Amino acid sequence: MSFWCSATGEAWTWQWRAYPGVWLFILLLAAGVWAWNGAGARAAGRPRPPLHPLFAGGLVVLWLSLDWPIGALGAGYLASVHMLQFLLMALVAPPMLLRGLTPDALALLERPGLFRALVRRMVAPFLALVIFSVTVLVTHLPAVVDTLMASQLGSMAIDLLWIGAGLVFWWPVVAPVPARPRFTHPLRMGYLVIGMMFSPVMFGLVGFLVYSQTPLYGVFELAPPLPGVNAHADHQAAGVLMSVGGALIAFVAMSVIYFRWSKESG
Amino acid sequence: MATVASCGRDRPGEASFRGVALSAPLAKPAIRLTDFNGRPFDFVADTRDKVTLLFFGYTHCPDVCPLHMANIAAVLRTMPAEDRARVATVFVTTDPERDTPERMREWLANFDPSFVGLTGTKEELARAQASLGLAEAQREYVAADSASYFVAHAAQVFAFARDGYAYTIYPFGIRQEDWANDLPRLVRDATGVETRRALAAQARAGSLSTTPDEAAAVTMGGLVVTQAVVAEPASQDEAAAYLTIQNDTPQEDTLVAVAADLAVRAEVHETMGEGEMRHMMATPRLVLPARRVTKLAPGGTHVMLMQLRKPLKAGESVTLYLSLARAGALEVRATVVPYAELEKALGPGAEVRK
Repeated sequence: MSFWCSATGEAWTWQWRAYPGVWLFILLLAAGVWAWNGAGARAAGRPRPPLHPLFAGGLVVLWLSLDWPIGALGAGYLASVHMLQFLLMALVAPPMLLRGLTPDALALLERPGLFRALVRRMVAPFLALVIFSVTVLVTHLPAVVDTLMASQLGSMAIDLLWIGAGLVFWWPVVAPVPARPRFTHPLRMGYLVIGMMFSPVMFGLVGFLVYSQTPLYGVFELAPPLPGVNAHADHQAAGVLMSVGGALIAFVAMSVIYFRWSKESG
Repeated sequence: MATVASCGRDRPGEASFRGVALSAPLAKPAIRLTDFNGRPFDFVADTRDKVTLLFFGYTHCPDVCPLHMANIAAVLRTMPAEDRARVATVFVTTDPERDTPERMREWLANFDPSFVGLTGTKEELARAQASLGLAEAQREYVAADSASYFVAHAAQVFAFARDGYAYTIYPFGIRQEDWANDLPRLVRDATGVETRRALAAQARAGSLSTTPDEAAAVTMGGLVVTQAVVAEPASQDEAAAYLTIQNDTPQEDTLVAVAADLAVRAEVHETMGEGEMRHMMATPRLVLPARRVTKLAPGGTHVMLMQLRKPLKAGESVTLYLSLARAGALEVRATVVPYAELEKALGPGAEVRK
């Protein structure tokens, strides 16, 4: 039994496999947010509100993307599934997870303290955009992917980096703390355009994946092949998925912001 | 004795061969088998003046065979039609019972319609493998009472140039970009002269030298490989190989792939943890820092030889093919030594935990 999905070099079978590390991570994440919300409620002298349904949805998305079969296929067999994991972990799950934090829990971050100050600084839009873009770039470099995906710890590191960078990126858009009155709805939409829809980093990666003559990642090119799948087409599919998926998620998020903006404007 | 061949440094304006160069060119063997259309196939006559890629495998193979075939086919698709017509890919089955002509034809056509499948009697196929110095492929049953089996077979593709000689082989781990680099060059060279010249130039640029004594050092491109040994294994399936790589260059290099002639698979493994938590983990790239000596030794990083083609006995030798990102490819012969003599064979500083 493996703790986390990684590239094993074994032929793919549809036989279910357990990855207890994934379950433990999901449980710890849920428990952590539950505890954080509890602390916020106690500090505010209010009863703890129930968890937001979107938070539960975020956990499910995260679990599906990390566990068998998506996690196993994406870790060691298909670049396209690896990319699907990236979209789910960095772009879909984080805004849903952030909705699970109550205003009282978030308010705890306004208190003094080095860690809290660091978090407040990291989630400033410009820095968040830089952190997200650099993480996306580094975690998609062939040398990094080929090296890290071969071990469970390395594969876990990439997954956690995606989740962490996704949370940082989405924070200024979704979380109301710290308050940023100057980060208006139109600026939020522009932020999503630069970060996802027309991100230079993502565009560059898409270009390499789609137009490269040979597959970019050795870990997927040399993985035991799945019937009917060729490595080059798989890499191209990964590029298309990153491009279309990123744009689609940005479009949905921008639509939500736009309608909220319209509603607030009366 | 150590043999060495290199495909490493680039000549100005010319890329290095990425395949593993053979220490001596290998003439096309006189293999006569039956193709998947039931016609006799004379390997020498029917592939004359073509770059011929020869591979021994089986269609039920879950990894190495479909990967080699898929990667060659993918690169052929990117080549001009006239170059493509100069390449023959010949797949010789090592599993004649299951690989019927129909199955081979269908399976190979999935990759490229030009691929040819050959079969024969068990004896004919064994002779064909022996003609290239390969051990006969062996069945490995999934379980003692199981009818399903894998076949342990050679994992390298032999690339015969148009002059009928193989100068390079392509072990498992070779990627499409490597084929895309080497195949067009082989196709353009009708006489083999350019290939020989290029490999010789690469060898010269890498200060190629071969020393034939026991403490042989294989030197190439400022890299010196010494003390290559394989510990006589207790297991019939696995063995560990150790060696010392001295990188005398001012730049780091990376060991990106390992293959061995007597093992279906070879990987670089690192030993992690201590005591009961000790375990091995495959590491796909081993960095060789500049001006440093990297020792692959017991209890640390080593080369794991998996699915041995035959039980290894002390005194025998195993050829290791090392692919280095900067220096190119190295062929190193490692002697099998009894475990008790491992410490001595590995030289000063080696600690053998028993």
